[in-house]
This record gives sequence, C-alpha cells and structure tokens, in this order.
Amino acid sequence: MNKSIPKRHFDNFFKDRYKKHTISPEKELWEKINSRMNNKKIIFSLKKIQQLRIAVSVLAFALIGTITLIVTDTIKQKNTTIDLQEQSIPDLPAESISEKHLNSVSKVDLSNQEQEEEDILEADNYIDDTNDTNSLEIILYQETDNYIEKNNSPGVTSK
Amino acid sequence: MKKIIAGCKKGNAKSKKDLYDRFAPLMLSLCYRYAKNKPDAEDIFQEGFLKVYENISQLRKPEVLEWWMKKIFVNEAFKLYKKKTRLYLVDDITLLGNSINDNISYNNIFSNIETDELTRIIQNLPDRMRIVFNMYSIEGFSHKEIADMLEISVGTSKSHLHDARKKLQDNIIIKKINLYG
Repeated sequence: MNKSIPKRHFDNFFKDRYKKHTISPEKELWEKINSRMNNKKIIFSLKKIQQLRIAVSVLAFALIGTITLIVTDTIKQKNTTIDLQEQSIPDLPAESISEKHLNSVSKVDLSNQEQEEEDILEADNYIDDTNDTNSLEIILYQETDNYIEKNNSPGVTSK
Repeated sequence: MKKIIAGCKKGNAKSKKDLYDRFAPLMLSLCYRYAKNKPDAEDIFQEGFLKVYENISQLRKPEVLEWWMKKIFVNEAFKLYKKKTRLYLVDDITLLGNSINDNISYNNIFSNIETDELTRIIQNLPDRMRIVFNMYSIEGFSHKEIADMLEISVGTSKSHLHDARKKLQDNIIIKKINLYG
C-alpha cells in the first residue's frame, strides 16, 4: 500500500502534465497527410480498376470455358450417336433386330402366301366342283339331245 | 463533433481538415512521447491520421473518438518500433533493483521541469519501457490491454513499467542536479 501511493503520485504527475499538453503541428504535416491521402485514393481507385479488370477477365474466361464445354459436349454427343449407329450392327447377336424384323416380315409374307395358296386351292376346288356340276349338266344335255336325235331319225316312227 | 465524424465517414475534405485541426496538437504530443525523436514522431503522426481517416467508418460511438484515436496512434507507434528494431517486448528485461523512492515529493522536485524537457526524458527511455510506461501511466491502459496489444505477458508489462518508473525518476533527478546543482 505504501509503495502504491508514490507510484500513483508518480503516474498522476505525468498524467496531469500530458492531459492537456499539445504540440502545434507544422503546416507541412497536413500537406503531407493530404497528399498521401490523395495518393491512397488514386492507388485505391487503380486497385479497384485492376480488381474489376481481373473480375471481368475471370468472368470472360469462365464464360468462354462454359461455351467451349457445351460445344465440346454437343460434338461428343453427336459423335457418340454416330458411333453407336455404326457399331450397333456388329455388336448385336446373330439374330439382330433387323433380322428379326426381316424374319417376321418374311413369316408374314409366307403366311400370306400359304393363305393365298389355300385360297387358290379352295377356289380351284370350287371351280372343279362347279365344273363337275356343269359337266353333269352338259352330259345330261348331251344325253337329252342324243335321245331326241334318236327319236327323230328316219326309220324310227313315233307311236 | 458528430457532424465532423459524419462528414469524415462520407469522405468530406473539409470535415477531415476540421478533425485534424481539432486533434492534431493533442496527438502530436502523444506521438512525441512514444517516439525516440522528431522524425519518428512525425511518421507516427502521419500514419496515425491516415489510419484514422481510413477506419473512421468503423467508429460507432462518437463520444469515444479521442480514446479510439489514441489507440490508433499508440498502435502505429508500436508498429514503427517493431519495424525499426525488429524487437518484441518479451526478452531483455533489465530489472533496475529497488522500486522508486517512496520519500520523494514529486510535485516539489518535478514541478519546475518543463513538459518538453520531461518529454525528452521519456524519449530517452528504452523502446519497450517507454511504450509500456506511456500506455499504462499516461494513457491509462491496463496491463492486460498492454499485454494483448504488444503480444507480451502481463508480467513482462509490469516489469517494463517498474523499470521505466525507476529509470525516469533517476533521469529526472540527474537532470535536476545538472540544472540546479
């Protein structure tokens, strides 16, 4: 406690001395500060412009990159489609879709042909049947004619 | 004052000049106490004001402006000495033996010493002692605040203060003897 009092007195002495102590600055000091402030402003503006430039270039690069990527992707996709189209035939198993398609088409054709043949046969049979009936009719007519001729021949008298 | 601060925040040149006119003499006195010589004091002074204008937008309470400015100037002083001497305030603690003389009546002995002379005595203190003494005894920072600002321990700050007081007292007495016999 005894020691702290003189310390406090000592500190207070300095504190009081410097509480309102002032030193008038030379005029040059303000000019120096002012010019440095203006320089800082210019440097700050230049820095801002530089930052802006960097930002714009980064954006431009990013945009170019994106466009390039999109274009590359599109080209790649196109190439892949073409490749797939080219590779699909050898890659597929022996009975490919196209072959299947062809088979089905040929099957359809065959079935149609068979059907046609059947139809023709049926038609023939019908014709044959019809022909048979006609021939019978013809025979009957012929026989009738023969009988009439027989009866009308000379030497045969009618009763 | 609020008007000046608001103007400074907007970057108004007149407000900046007004702030300078209002605080420059007080801050220059502070700079002289923290510096070793006039050129150093003026360097701290310029850097301090530039920092003030740069950061005034961060000041929330206008009533603490003086305290806030003092802190900036002290920080600039410390930065200058850190740069110049590349010394941190942790090592080379020289204890100067006994504490200051309890029986001295300070007002009687020091009263007739001019403040400018007192400033020169403070300037002759080693860098670390000078900074800690100014911060604690005159500006009123706590040892914790000093320790945080200067990146030293509280104990180191106390040691520097003790040494500074002793050295100042000795130098003042020597000066007195030289002046008045």
